[in-house]
Amino acid sequence: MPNRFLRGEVLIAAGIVFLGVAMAFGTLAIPRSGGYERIGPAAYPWVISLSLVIIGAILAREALRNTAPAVPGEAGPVGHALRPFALVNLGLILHLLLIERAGFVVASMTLFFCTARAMGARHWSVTAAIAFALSLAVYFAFSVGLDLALPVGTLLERQ
Amino acid sequence: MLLKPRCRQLMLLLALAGMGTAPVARAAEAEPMQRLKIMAPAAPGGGWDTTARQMQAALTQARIVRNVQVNNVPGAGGTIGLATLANNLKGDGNQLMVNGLVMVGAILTNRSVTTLSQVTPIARLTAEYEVVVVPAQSPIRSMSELAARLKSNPGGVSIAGGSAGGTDHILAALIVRAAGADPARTNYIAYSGGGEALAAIMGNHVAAGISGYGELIGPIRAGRLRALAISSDKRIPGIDIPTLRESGIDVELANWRSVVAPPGLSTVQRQALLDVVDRMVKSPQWRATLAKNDWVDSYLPGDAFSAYLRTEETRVTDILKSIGLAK
Amino acid sequence: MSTLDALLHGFSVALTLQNLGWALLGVTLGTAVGVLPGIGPALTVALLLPVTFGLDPTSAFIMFAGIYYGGMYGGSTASILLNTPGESASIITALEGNRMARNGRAGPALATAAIGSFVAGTLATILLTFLAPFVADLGLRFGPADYFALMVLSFTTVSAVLGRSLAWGLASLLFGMALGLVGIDVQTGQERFTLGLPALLDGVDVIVVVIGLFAVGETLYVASRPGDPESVAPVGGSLWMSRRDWARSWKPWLRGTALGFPFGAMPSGGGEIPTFLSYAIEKRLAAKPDEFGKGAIEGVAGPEAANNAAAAGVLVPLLTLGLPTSATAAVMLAAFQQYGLQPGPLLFENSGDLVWGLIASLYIGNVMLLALNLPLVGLWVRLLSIPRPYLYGGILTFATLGTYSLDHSVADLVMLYLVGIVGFLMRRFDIPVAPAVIGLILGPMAEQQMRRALSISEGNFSIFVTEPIAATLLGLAALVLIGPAVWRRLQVGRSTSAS
Repeated sequence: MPNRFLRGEVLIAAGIVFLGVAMAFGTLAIPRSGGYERIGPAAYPWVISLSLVIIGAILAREALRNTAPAVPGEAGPVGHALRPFALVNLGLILHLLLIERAGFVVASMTLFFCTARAMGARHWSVTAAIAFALSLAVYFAFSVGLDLALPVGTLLERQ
Repeated sequence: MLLKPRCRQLMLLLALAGMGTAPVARAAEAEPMQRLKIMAPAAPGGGWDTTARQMQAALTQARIVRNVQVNNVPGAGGTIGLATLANNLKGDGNQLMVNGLVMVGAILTNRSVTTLSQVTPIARLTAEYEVVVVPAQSPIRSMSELAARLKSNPGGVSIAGGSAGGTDHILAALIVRAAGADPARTNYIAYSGGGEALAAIMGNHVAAGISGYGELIGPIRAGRLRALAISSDKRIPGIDIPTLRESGIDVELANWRSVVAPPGLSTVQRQALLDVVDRMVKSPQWRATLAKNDWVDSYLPGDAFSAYLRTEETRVTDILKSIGLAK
Repeated sequence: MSTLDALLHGFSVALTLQNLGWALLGVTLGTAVGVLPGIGPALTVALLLPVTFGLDPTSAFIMFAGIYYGGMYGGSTASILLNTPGESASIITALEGNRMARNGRAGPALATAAIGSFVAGTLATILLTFLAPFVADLGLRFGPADYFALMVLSFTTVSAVLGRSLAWGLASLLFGMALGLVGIDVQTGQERFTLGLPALLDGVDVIVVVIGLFAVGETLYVASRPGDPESVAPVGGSLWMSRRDWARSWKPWLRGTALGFPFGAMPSGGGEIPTFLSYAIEKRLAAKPDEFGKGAIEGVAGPEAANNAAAAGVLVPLLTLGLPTSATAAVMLAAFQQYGLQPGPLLFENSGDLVWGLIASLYIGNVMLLALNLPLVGLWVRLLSIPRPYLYGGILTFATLGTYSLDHSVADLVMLYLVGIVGFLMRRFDIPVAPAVIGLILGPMAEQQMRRALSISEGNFSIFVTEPIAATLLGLAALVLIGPAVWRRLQVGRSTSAS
């Protein structure tokens, strides 16, 4: 029986091996001299990168042999939906792109709107209104109440 | 309820403090200055942040500036704040940034692309001196005894202090060199938090320690630490600790703090900031702040400060190179 | 007796109507910021510092203490209800607490957290009152070698949170330790794995990782599984703890307190490690260890008590030695200095009113917090009846706000997003998240303390066995690791020989 879950596990295990190898290359750039402590700043990175490679290899082997313990709950009929997942990702990316350019309120609104839509909010006008109200309330609570300077947005400041 | 009026007062204060976000017409020459932003290139609670917030209090209470805002841009010994000031705030005549000796070192150790030559120096404000201490249980009783041990076996004298390449580390290396040993052989134990280093010294886990006077004075007075020497050039009135020079170590180091402005200011803009800082330094509010925080007044404005900055850069580069922290 | 007199005097200071008002304001503000991810008591106190400049120092500190304790109470709420802890000391609470909430037992989980916090906070404050100087001296005995041994012992707690497989748990732990290496090495000032980015020089913030792995990872996971009945906690069940819940909670509360207070009082201790240890111990001692990971109340009661006791413990080195050992303590120290006060032994002599007023206000604050939080349990649980789209929209709004407010840096938001993706993948493939956070916290501490110890001994490894505290702790760690295996071997040997 083809098991997509296990194929994913193999990929993740490969990712762990890759992380370990990449770290090992990064460790080569760290000077080994440690003064009196002798072991120096490169010792721990070596241990961790090599351990990652070993663990990754063990996990990959386990997954390929399909001996990994079954995952509870995964057997259910619930599939994974790409669209809502992508929408939340879009919200997060837009937020970090917008926060300093368009300001906190616009960025937060966008994030809230995307997330809420992804989770099944139906009326987009109501969702937008709630997103705006919450972002504005948070902005005033923090920038006025706690004197925490949240970005107004460079676009707005330049006018 | 008795609480209510006071509560409202607090809310009003909070509200006033937050008003500065609205853009106000620029009026650099008007009296008082309309608004000023002070960046503390560190997290809330540290020395630079305290300096920025005390400036804020003095400037507003003495009615030198109507509205002062402090913002924190922490990270990498202040070099992230420095980069922000040099790149994003060019030509802004209502902006200052607090910095100091630590930033000179951090620029070198972090190989920062932005340097202090890219900003407009305004004035050196305060200095805090460093103190060399040993645990109360230590057999070492004087700075010359410590120097003798450093000379014969620097590895046997572990010295605890703040992060590698910081003021404490710089002073440790200068002392080892002045004592007649290779500064590269300093056995320096770095701690990231002031409290942790202090605990290691008090717990007698290291041979000696170096930190700012303000951090050490409590445990010294309580008899938990023995002060051997202070890094000032001459004795400070009210502080009964011999200088390093008195003990035959020809070293002097001040952990100075200063303010700088963004690059690209007009002469008028620069003069306005110099005036604001000059008036603040002379205000009774700032005098009180200095006394309360045990800060030594080391006011040095304008071109004299620029020159001082260059000599400090040379000295710090030299010692950091000798301990392998700068190239 | 003189301590008792001083404490009574402290109560007379703290019990004025005005100071009670400040305490109430403090605990309310503290609870509010504690619930929000990333906006902790340290930031709140720092922001309020300039505002309180004109205030009487005693009143200001009573309010700060309220914020501090309030933040600790509030921290558990988001962990339990939404699986979105806002700080590292609450991640263990999320493990069992959120499971309980999903089983419809949000009420008892919140109640055991609140009452446990009260019990631990009050007991720890009593210890602070009477034993502070003694405990502070004990804490100073721990040197770098001893701390390293303590970290090794703490690493053994990972086995308690492993989940389905040892190998996946270790991979998660190593991932956390790898993240912990990023930044400037404290001992040598060398850059490690910064990829040439200035934003990475100070390393990866634990709070960003916690919020990313939990809040963002959770939201992405829920979004990817529309219609999954398990993703939303049902509202219902009893709000109050049953007799059985009480019976299962009181011992973990006491054990958590006994662990948390000394750890908090240690100069390099902190609030997270005792929560890890408490969880591991409760799992070992539980009558039904299988229930752990499915919503065992002991796993909420113990760590929450440990977390709050540690918060009181942190005040020990701050007040008696002037040593700040946490972010909030560092800000409080700055506050003392703002008023021209120097914490340390002399503070008790010179500013008795303030210190004892502050300590008395901790007792009062705890009572207020209990009175505030128990009725709120019903209200908090109703949070879950907010329609899912708006609930998760709000979670991400606050998660990103908390992250951005740390350093005002977009780089942190990028890191949050990337860690969130990792958190999503870990959930998707059922890889435990907690070991990653444990690795991120313990890894750097273990490394730095080991290298400090070796530098002091000039490279001599024998320091780890010649120092009595270190040797004892390492022995204990070995016992925890190989003890059960040896025990099983013996049991098997006995049963085979019997048959």
